[in-house]
Amino acid sequence: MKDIHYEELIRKIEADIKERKLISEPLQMSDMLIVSEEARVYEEEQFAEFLQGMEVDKDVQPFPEITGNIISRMLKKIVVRITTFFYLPAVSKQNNYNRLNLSSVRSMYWMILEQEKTIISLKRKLDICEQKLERLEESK
Amino acid sequence: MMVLQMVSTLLYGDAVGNDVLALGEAIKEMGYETAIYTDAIDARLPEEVARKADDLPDLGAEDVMIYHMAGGTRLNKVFAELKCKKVMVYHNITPPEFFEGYDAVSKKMCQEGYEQLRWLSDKVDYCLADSEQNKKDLIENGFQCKIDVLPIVIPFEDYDKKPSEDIINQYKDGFVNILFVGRIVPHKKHEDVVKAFYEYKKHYNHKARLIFVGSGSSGEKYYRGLQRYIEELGVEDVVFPGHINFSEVLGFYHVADVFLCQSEHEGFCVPLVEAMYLNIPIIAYASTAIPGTLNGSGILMDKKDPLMTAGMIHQLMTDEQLKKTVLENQKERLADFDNEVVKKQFAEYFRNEILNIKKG
Repeated sequence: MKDIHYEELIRKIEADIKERKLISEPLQMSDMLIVSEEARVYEEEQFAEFLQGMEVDKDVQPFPEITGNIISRMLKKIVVRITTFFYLPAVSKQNNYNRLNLSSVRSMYWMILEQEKTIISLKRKLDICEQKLERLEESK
Repeated sequence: MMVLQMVSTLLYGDAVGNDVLALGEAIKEMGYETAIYTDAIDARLPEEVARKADDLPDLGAEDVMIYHMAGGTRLNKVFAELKCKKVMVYHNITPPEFFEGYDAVSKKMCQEGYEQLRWLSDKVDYCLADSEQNKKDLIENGFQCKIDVLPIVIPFEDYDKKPSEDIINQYKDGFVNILFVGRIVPHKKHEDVVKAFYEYKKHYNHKARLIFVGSGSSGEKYYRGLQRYIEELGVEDVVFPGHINFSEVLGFYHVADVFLCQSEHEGFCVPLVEAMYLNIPIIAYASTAIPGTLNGSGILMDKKDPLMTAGMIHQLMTDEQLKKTVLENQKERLADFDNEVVKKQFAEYFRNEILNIKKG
């Protein structure tokens, strides 16, 4: 095998980086993911799925679909009419609560996304500052 | 005397599958009765290529079973219980820690694979390993039988087929094309390739493109994380062709100016040899089997630093003498993977080791 003079190449590249004052991008892929198994309270994809699920079920259906022949349907409707007097206020309150809950959680979700973007941007700026400071201290 | 082979799944175009088929040819050429037994055969392969593992005949002490092991599977137990001469070809299992946080199922499968590997350690008569790295893996997992190194047999004639003209027309456009070929899974460290490409594009040459040939279906969360990383970095011209046919794969190889590998775990790394064959200079991070596969060829970097890697890409793209030397070294190394050389080595191991196995 012919020698590619690897050490010489490395020195050349290092000298070029120093001369041009190149700074490495600090953002890592690990910044993209919450990977801790213990602290799995938030995981973006799952959060989005939960929100979708909440959207579908936000209104409580107080009674099942009325099926059967014409007489049984009529009887069931009478029973429903009588009993709604008792449970409908609770169902309305629950539905109202569910909608408020969903709105709050939805705004929290978007807030988390925005904050994540801000954190990533701040982290990059901080790392670039640290690199510049290191360079300054080295040049003294 | 029968010389049979067994593998859990026989896939089309897969490194292990190609190795099984090529060794089958070698065994036939030596004049022995042979067949392949498997639990699952790729629909793209002719049915008669392999038989069901459930139909394995009774094997005597003089018969030979060559079992290709690459993970946890019921066939590990079937193999262990055979009464014949037992030879295991070890193709490597990914260390489970690489899947931490990405894929709990794959992590568990790899853990089970290593448990079964350790369980097999005193039940095998002789081992062949694709690389010194794989041999080291076997020794660390308790294997005390003789272990020899035999490179994977690669069907080079396939790489002489016609590449996709559409791909060549689309991507041969004056951009420096940086290529990596491999499944999109955590241990292959695609993010480090992205990072080096980002630095190269920013500081050296904005007319550059990164192409990742490989399926993302086996690492969904990692693939999504990678896409998000690319988006956050704001780097453009990163291409994921996805599921493509072989002529398109060849097309990407034909437009590539450099092959960049930052993988942190490989049992052999067939794409490195493919790049050698298709005359693409290689820059690779020195981990696991990669130094062995390159064996002094390519440009092997002992530290992982994206700025340094970017600088090395720039050196390779601007220094014609360096590129010429790298390609000459790669051609020299490629000769060691010639199919006839590998088959001859296998025949030697067969005569000197496998035939001499004594069963009690």
